[in-house]
Amino acid sequence: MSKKSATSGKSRWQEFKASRAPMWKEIKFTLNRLKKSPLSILGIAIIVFFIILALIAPLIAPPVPGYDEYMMPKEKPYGSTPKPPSPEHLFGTTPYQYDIFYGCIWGTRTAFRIGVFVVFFGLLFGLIIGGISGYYGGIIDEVMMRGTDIIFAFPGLLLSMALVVSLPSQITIIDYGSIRWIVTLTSLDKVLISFILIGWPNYARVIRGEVLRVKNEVYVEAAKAIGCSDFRIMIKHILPNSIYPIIIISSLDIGGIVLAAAALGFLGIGSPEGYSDWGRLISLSRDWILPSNADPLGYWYLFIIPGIFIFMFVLGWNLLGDAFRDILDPTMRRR
Amino acid sequence: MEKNLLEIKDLTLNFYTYEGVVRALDRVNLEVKEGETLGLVGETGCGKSVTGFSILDLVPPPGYIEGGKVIFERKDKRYNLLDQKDSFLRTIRGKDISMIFQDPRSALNPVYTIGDQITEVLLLHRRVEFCKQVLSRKDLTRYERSLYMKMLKSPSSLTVRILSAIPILNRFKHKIEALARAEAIKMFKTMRIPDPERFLRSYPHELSGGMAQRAVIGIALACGPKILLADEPTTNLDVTIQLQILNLIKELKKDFHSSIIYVTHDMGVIAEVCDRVAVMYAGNVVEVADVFELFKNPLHPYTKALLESIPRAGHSFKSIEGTVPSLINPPGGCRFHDRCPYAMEVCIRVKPTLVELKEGHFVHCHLYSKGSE
Amino acid sequence: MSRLIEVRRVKQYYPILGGVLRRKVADVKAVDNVDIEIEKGECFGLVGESGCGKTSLAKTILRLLKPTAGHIYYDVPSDVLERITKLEAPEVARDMELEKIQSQLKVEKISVSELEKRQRQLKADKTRSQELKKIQSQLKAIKARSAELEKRQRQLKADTTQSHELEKIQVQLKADKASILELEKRRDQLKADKTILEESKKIDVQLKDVKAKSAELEKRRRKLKAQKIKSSELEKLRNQYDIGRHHGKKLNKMRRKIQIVYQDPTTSLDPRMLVKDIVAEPLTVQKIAKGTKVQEKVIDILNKVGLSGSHLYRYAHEFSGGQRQRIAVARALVLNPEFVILDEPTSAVDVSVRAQLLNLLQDLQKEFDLTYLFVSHDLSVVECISNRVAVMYLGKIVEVGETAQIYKNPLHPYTVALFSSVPIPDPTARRERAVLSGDVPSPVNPPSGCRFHPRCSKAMDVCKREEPTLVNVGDGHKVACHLINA
Repeated sequence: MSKKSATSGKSRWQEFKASRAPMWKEIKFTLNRLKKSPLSILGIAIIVFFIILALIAPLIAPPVPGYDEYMMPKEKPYGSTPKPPSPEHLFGTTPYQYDIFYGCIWGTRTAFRIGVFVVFFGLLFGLIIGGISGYYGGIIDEVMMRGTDIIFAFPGLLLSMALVVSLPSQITIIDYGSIRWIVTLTSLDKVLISFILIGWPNYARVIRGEVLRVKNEVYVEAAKAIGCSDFRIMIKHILPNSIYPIIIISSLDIGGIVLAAAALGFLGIGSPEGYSDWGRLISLSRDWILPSNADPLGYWYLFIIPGIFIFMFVLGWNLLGDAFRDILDPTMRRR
Repeated sequence: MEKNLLEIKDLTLNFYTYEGVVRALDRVNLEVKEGETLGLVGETGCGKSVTGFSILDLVPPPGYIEGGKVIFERKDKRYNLLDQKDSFLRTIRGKDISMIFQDPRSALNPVYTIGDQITEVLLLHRRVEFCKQVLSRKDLTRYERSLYMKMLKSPSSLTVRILSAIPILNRFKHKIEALARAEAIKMFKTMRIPDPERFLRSYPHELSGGMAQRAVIGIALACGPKILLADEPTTNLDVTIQLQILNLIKELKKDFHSSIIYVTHDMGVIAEVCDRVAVMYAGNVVEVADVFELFKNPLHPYTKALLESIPRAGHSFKSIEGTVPSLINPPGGCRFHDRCPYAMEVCIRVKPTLVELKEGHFVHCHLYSKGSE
Repeated sequence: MSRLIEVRRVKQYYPILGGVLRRKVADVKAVDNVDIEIEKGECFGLVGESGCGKTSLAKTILRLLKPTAGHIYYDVPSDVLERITKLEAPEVARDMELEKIQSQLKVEKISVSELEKRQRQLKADKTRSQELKKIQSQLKAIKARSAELEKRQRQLKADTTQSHELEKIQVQLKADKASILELEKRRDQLKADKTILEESKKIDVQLKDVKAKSAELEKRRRKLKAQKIKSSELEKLRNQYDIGRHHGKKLNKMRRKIQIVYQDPTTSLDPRMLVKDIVAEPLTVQKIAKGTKVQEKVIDILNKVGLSGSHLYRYAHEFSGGQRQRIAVARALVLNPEFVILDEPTSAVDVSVRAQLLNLLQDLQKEFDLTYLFVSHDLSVVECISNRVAVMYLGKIVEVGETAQIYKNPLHPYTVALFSSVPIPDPTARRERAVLSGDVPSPVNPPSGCRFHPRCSKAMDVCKREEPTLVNVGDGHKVACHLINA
């Protein structure tokens, strides 16, 4: 017998449905808006495609047992001449015979890892610092914003390269007698951490701006009049109303981060050689882009195929970010 | 019998939104005579502001005018403003029909001084007159003279436009701008603004609400329009400033011989300023009468309820039952029937027609159309 | 009836920061030395135009802002209140005298600067001395020349041959004599014109006078400031009853008793929260109820304001203006407060809904035994709903009293102007009304003396110098005007 709520006479299930009703209405409205914008649908389709690709990676590109699945399999003989696409190697092989097909498929997983990891933690730090800075103002605001200014002053890619080089490979968190907790950072991890350290100021800035705007709204003052603590106001009132620009920026950023990681991978910083990472794949083709006068684009598959993957991935996230901006644009919503 | 300067006949306006079609205006009929102040009164959502906007065809999408005519008399010719092209309407807006808005600070462009904004209007509409004045001077260089002749004949010619944009070569415009500024100063002097030169040089954010509204009124009246559309101009102002502005409007009306369509929800202001009143409810005009007649003898139940609900000391104020209906699915028949204390069976089915009970006093109500039979 | 709120000498100044180092340059004197008493169970109206400080006062009472000075005593029993008044008397007297001295000093400073300016003007007026010098030198030159000419004349007189030269010289001498006479006349005129000197001497005397007075005032002020009149009993009482001093837990508990309904329900309700969350929030924050009890209370209060349980799961923007304002009222009442501040609750809604809302507010007042502070600029609404009314202008209360009395017989010129500028919904009552000239001045630099004197048609000399105090003219009707209190 479903319990009936004492006051409204509905069953618990009905109550639950009713409480989610406005959310469904919002979602329906959002979907309707999306339908009107074909580019947004394209963006969503691309991202969904990549997600599926990442999920079924073990099926279509089975890893070699005994080896780390992210390392691309090498084919004997280890000749240095890349081979064009063939039935065994769908996208061909790189110099030193890494399978490009394997690398691209598993590279999708790497790309998601990079993008989501960096944006998530960058967002976390940015939210905390920007939120506190915007809400309290005064000297806290000044200090934090000057900190972000300092980080902004450096050219991003160069600073990230410097950080990657200087971050230690092993961080000892606890070394007390028998308790030892040492974190080992692979070079890919170092790249990710350096991106986070460089990327959070952007989010902090944007959040701070939004918090400053929302802080002056009447409903925040009304909440104070009820006796809400600062923390509660920040979490329940300010954050939900200021999150929209952040959603847009972070979705655009995932694409940007992947691109930057690919750039670093091309320069040889980041994942080790043989790791299935799109940038790394292209770096392997460095010497073969224009091999000889006789055959200028003969080895096109070396860089064009991973390049297409990068391009589509970033394009998908950009379109998704645009889609978010369109549907979340307050002037278009009938608030 | 004065002629009708503006006639709105059967105006129907719809807004196409996600939730459905909002039938904002449903066969609205209004007349504005020369030299009179017509009050358009009603609550939020009744369509009074939109009526004003649609006279000038300024209704933004998703609003579309579905039917009706707006007939305006200009130089003895009658035009349906809804049929005209945008280029024709642009010659009317600001010159023959002007508009004053509710919030003066947002009606003025914050990055231009008041002087810039009023000379813009003056130069746009009275260009011919000013050009002729400039050409009648003796101290023009040949270069300037030729440019002004060109401006006179074809103001939007390419030469004039390019030369106006180049910094040093556009000095020729200073003469005509000086004339426009002098005209603006004269205008503000008649509005009794202290120190008009300084006023012209200030930016909208430097002015108080009352002064900004005066600037907006000055810009609206700069070209001597025949009809002034005032969309709740004093709602955001303090009561003492409101009095100043109302007196100003009354005086200017006398000087400029304009008609005014005064849109508001404040019955007190209507009683102060207007000659005739039209009461609107949910997109319909329900009663039109002379102002004294309306207050003394309101006929439509909505008008009666509205007058009774004004909080006044000593009277217990009665509120109107229910709320304004949603215009997406408006009630059939008379749109007021679900809140009307005198509703009859016919009110639900049939929309009431216009009945002229006394001379000049029109009602849309079945109570009176039946009674007269 | 017992006093619920006693506002004493409350000031609310907003600092203006300027300069490179963001130091305080000036204050926006939003509320300047305001006294208000609100009885339990009454509806107290507060009217005034924009910029007069009524919203700031409301927020100060609500403790959204800490008062810059002054005390807000909440729910004090009358005998304790008397005790506090007695204990406060010396402090009040001292503060009043300090204020007077302050304003006097300001006036003196203005006159000093004026006098000094005039002094400098006079000193710079060298024209007289210059002209004098010029005349002297001219005289000397002409005298020398005429002496020479005379010498020549005497020489020539003896010699008859150069008669025409003699004539020339004679003519010249005559002209010279005439100009000498003229110049001497002018010189005597100027010398006699001692006016500038006299004026400068007079100004000197005046300056000395004024400076002496200022010095005296300063001395008195310093002495007063150094006076120690703190009493520990007063402090204890204040810590208990003065909500201006509460903070932390005490402040939170006080928030249950005083609530506010804002003007614009569109912005005062969080657009991302459901109605049930909005109304339940005070209960959760103040930890009064939990779980299903919260739901019960929410539905209960919604029913009382005329909404129903079916409205729980909707966003605020889906309702009409009047309904949204009801939600705001529900949110304010869900904690069962004693005192509700209504900050222009009817300004943002339509006329017909206004009546509904006012009826609702009156019913709720009776049902819950509430006390209202009704802040508004709409005089007709205030007239209908309040028992007593106070009129504010530029941070000061200019008139206070029973509603009927004030509306029938307004005394302060500002009140008169305010009431007469309200348009009456009756075209036969069109009358010539006194238009108040000018705009409301900014509260940063309020006019000296009575703040209304630049716009007052009946301003007298004393109005520029001295600030009028609220004086009881009978039956609790108080006015602050020199005209009335002369």
